[in-house]
Amino acid sequence: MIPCIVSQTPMIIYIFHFLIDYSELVFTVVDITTTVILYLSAKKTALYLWEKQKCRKWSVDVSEILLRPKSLHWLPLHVAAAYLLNPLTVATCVARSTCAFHNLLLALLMLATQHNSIMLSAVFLALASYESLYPVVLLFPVILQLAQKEVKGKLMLQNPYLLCFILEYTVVFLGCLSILLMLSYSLLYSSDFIPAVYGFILSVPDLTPNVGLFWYFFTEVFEHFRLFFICIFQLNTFIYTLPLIIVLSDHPQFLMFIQIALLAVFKSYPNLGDVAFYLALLPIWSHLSRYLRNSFLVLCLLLSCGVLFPILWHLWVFSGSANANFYYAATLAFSTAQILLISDYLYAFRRREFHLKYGTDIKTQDGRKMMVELK
Amino acid sequence: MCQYCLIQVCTSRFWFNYRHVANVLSVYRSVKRLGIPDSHIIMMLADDMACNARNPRPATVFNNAHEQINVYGDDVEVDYRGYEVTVENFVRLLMGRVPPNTPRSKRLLSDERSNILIYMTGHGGDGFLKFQDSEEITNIELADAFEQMWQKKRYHEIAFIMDTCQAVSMYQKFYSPNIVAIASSQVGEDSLSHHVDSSIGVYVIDRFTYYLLEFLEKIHPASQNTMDELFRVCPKRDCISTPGQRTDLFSRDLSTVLITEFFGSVRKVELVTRVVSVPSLRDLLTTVPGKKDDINEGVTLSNVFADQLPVAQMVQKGKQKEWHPPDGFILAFWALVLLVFFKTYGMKHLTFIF
Amino acid sequence: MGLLSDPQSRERVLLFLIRHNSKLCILCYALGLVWFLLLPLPPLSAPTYISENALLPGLVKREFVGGPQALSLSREFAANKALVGGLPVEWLNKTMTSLGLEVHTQTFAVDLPFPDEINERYHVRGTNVQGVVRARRAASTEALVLHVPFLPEANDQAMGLALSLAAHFRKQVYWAKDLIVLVTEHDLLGIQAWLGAYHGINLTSLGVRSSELGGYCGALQAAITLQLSSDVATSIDLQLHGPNGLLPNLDLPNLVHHLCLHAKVLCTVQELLPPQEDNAWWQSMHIMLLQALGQASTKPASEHGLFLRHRVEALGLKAINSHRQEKASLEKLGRLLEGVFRSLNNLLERFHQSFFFYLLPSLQSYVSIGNYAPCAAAILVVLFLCAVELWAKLNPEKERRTREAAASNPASIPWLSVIGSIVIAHGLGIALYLGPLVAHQRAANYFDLPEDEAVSLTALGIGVSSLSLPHRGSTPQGWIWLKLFALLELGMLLLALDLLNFPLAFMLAIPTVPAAVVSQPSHKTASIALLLVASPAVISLMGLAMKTELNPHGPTSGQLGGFIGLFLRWLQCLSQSILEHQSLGTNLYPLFTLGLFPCWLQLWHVALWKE
Repeated sequence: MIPCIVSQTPMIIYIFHFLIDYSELVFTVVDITTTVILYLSAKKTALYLWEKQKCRKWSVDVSEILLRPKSLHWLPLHVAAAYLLNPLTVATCVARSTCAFHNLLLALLMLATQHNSIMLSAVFLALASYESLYPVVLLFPVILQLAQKEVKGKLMLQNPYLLCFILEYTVVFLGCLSILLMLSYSLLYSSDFIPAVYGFILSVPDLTPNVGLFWYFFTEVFEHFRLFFICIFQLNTFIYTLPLIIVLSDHPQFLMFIQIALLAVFKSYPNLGDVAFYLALLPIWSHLSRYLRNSFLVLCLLLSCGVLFPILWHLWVFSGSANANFYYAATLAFSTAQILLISDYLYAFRRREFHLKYGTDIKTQDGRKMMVELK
Repeated sequence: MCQYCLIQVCTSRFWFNYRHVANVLSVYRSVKRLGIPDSHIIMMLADDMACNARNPRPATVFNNAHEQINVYGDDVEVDYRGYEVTVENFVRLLMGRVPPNTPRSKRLLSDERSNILIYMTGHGGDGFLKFQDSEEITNIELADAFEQMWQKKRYHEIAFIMDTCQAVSMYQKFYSPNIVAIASSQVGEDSLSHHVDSSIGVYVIDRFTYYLLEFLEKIHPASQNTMDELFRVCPKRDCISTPGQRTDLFSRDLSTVLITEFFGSVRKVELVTRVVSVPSLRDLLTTVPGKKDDINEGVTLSNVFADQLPVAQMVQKGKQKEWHPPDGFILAFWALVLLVFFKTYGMKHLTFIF
Repeated sequence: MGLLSDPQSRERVLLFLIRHNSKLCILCYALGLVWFLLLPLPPLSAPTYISENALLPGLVKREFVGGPQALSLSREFAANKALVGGLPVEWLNKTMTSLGLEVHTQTFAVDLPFPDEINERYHVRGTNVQGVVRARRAASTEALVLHVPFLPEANDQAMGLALSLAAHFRKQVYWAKDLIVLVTEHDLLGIQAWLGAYHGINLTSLGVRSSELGGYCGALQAAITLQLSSDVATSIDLQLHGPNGLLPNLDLPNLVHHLCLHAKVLCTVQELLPPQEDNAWWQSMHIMLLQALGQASTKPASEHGLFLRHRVEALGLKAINSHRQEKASLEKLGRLLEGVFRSLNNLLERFHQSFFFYLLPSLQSYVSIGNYAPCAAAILVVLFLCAVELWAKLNPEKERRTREAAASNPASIPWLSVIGSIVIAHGLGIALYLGPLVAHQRAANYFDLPEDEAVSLTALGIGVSSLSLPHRGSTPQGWIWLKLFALLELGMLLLALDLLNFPLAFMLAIPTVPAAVVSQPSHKTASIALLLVASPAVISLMGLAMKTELNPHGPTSGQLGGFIGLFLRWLQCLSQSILEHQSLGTNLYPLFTLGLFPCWLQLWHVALWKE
């Protein structure tokens, strides 16, 4: 079933050829670097949000939901702390998961995008996609973000400048990606790594239990439905991109955050490091907290999953008294909590936008206070 | 071609299923006594009880607490054993779709004149029989296999005997002609074991088979007992479960069908007055055109025998290619779904969904 | 999802929760309690049955006739024991070899962190002897263990019986698994050293030095620990639980019970007679509570317990000789054991069919995890409800929030005092965990105490002094945050414990949950009173008192009665639990000090919060 023992990209293997003896140090350094980059990136994001708030027109009486410079000031520090002090990050670092590199690349991508550097962002995006394929979908938020600065005129599909920019960026990205692939090819003199890495990600042959949804389902599914369900599960990972682009085209920053979070939930081999990464981005959107509705529930769920994972794993694998169903129940609860969290943030963002546009105190025609509903 | 064939299947593994192996071996012994040679018997045993380390009487299998007869005697030929006993192998055996290198002992060499007796035991449920504790054959699969046998003219009549829990469910779906079926228990009933041999420490035989054997002991090759007596071998007070039978597919009146037509090998001899000249083997070989002398005789002979088998022809026809949906089919399907979705709701409405 | 997205119904549910919070809390708590009390009754406790088909219990003819041999061997063993003044390794070696067993010995040495005054040992040296009956027709991939702990004063007959059984088994051809007759010294320490050497791992923080173990026999499938100190027995008591509340698969006790019924030997659990028709509820409850207390103590019921930690299903059989009429001879017991081992020999996989989590109100009935989980859940829900209420207090629903409240609320979290309190509580927990081990030497010298008393008194000292730690709340709202944190931490702790060791979790939850819910500065007296009752010290004291009260033999002679006696025994238990944590890896002490105590201390701070 499993086509190969190693499913890392040739580059990672090549790099670790030199670094394997210092791996403790390497992973610590990578985590700290990620933190620093996240700090810089969050700083830039805060500035960006502030600028954006300044140059837009708002409805009356929205002052209380506007961003405050004081809270923006502390924002980068919160992000850095949330990444570095998160027990999940520490655990990932101790486990020496290559997820640390993945996170580093994502952080670099965010930084490069914030600084409107087309070339660098394309390079990092290509690196991230080369590493784990899924970040390909971040192409859209990155393009939207860069286009805000680079493209003249409105961001409409009819705008020829935009089309031109999209084409340009895609070509750069694909160029970077092909260079990486060719480099890998020249390392191995064979293209076996493509099925071994990307086939491994897409066809999910390794069903070792993890915190995701794939493994249990595909151990249970009948062999002849396997292809069909793999297509559905993988499609599910990508399917949210298009509607999200349509809804959030003015807010590529937020789009990027939601995309990263969704990938962490729905990718084929998710791990806790991915979760740690997007949880670290939450402080950027702390101004949405007043519109979050299930935060306590999500908090309780996430906490109890954090407690249940190791215990149920221990009971299943070591003491043999519980079984896989117990552990899978915990992963289900974990995924549910994450999805709740993401949808809650999406709702809160939309709702804040709505209030910024129409004011906080809207009355219906008969004078009652209006409620905003998510349908 | 054999006129009388016997397939015996024990589908269960593990020491505590000793009785299933004992069942099969006892029936084997009985029918062999009635004259069916080993070459016409195909026996499938999923586990080797005689050599199980837990067996206090190594290399024996007994079907009775008195331990008078070792049914695992010196002359037992097991054709499929251990992990060879699978649903696939069983169905292939029935249909004759075996690989070309399969030895004769593992083939069912039957034609439209063969009477086949099939005896199966193991752990069953409503509509299925477990193989090896890992897979099942369903009653529909079995019925379809029989139908294919019928269409390929692989049998004349079948007697099907089943000793499992809910055994009746296995023959309910049969639809091919000339099958008579007997089963040890109704749907919802368990088929029970008869007694324990406390020196071996296991149940040694099932009730239905025990009484069936008791009946078969009285049969000899010239007996005039008919098949309908077989339905009465195990009344409910003995069996505790209720045996069932199915005769509607069978064209003849069962009270006229001799038991030995299935359980024995009494050949019907037709006397003719004509003189029939049987060509010698050497003559047969000369009919093969060309190269007669320069071929090693042994090889040629084996080829000739192999060619006689209808099975071999069937195999050589080549496997039909199985149909697979085109690779892009599922993706295209989803593209269509998405297309319909956008056509129906339009882009604008998406904003209200999220 | 409708409930989660529709703001109106959401608000209605939330309002309902907040308005009826106290009623709901009481309801859930009462539900949990009543459910627990109803557990021994039929719909919740089902009759036991053997679910592993392969066992085939009681089908074989028992052939063991070595009763006289067992008796003479036990006499010989006792004589040699007296001669050597310890485990007669030489004699065992010789006897086992002459019976045809493959003999291996293992020496081990353990240094305890402080002297164990009860068992009078500090630097422990010992020897384990292992005799193997090889299965003739199998590949030595699986093994069964017949374990006889060596006791200086008792257990001679068990040794004789085991040896004569091994001699009988040696002659049989039907073995599919090897049989190990194991004699270990120094009760749990010996068996731990042997298991560690057999599996090549060390599960405790203590360094166990042991010699290489010969005669590997494959994966251990099951183990029976035998205790028998008389020539005849009236009943057999099954000892189930291992360290940290581990239980063997229910099939194993069921198997032995079934075979006892077959052999007409009385079989009991917790040394209590099976419940009779009249007063069945109390009798079942009695047995169940004793089991629960045993599991909650995290101490193994007998030497078999450590097998369970290595995923080997094990059971302790203790033969009891009382004044009952029907006596079972050694031969009869031998036949019973022969039946057990022949059934175990039939196993094809490890035990997995039946339950691993259960409570036994009697040997005839069991309560499965599905039936007792609701009482744990109901009590956890109380904590959740209380936390929701606090959360709602801190974050009034945005729809209803007025402008002023919005202006005053942000950034009012008193980080300093709340986090200070949390850090202090956990720091003290760590101090309590490490303190006794670090400081007992000094305390023993200074106060001229035996070392184990010094240990428990140090722990007590740290615990009590932490209460007096002054705490100043800076803001009126701060306690809510602190309490919220404490509630969540307590909830997570109990949730985790519910899965690992339900009886312990339940016994902790019963006093702590009401104390946690009630504690707040405005009800100072009530919360302090409840918190005192729920303090780790009082909980363990109550557990000990309950155990003494329920013990069928009553307090053993030589123990002081009354409260003073109880307190002295509690001190002893305290030092024992530290010692057991260090030497055997039971986790009661770390759980109390690192888990429960910080939670409790935070709640204590909440109750004493100065507004």
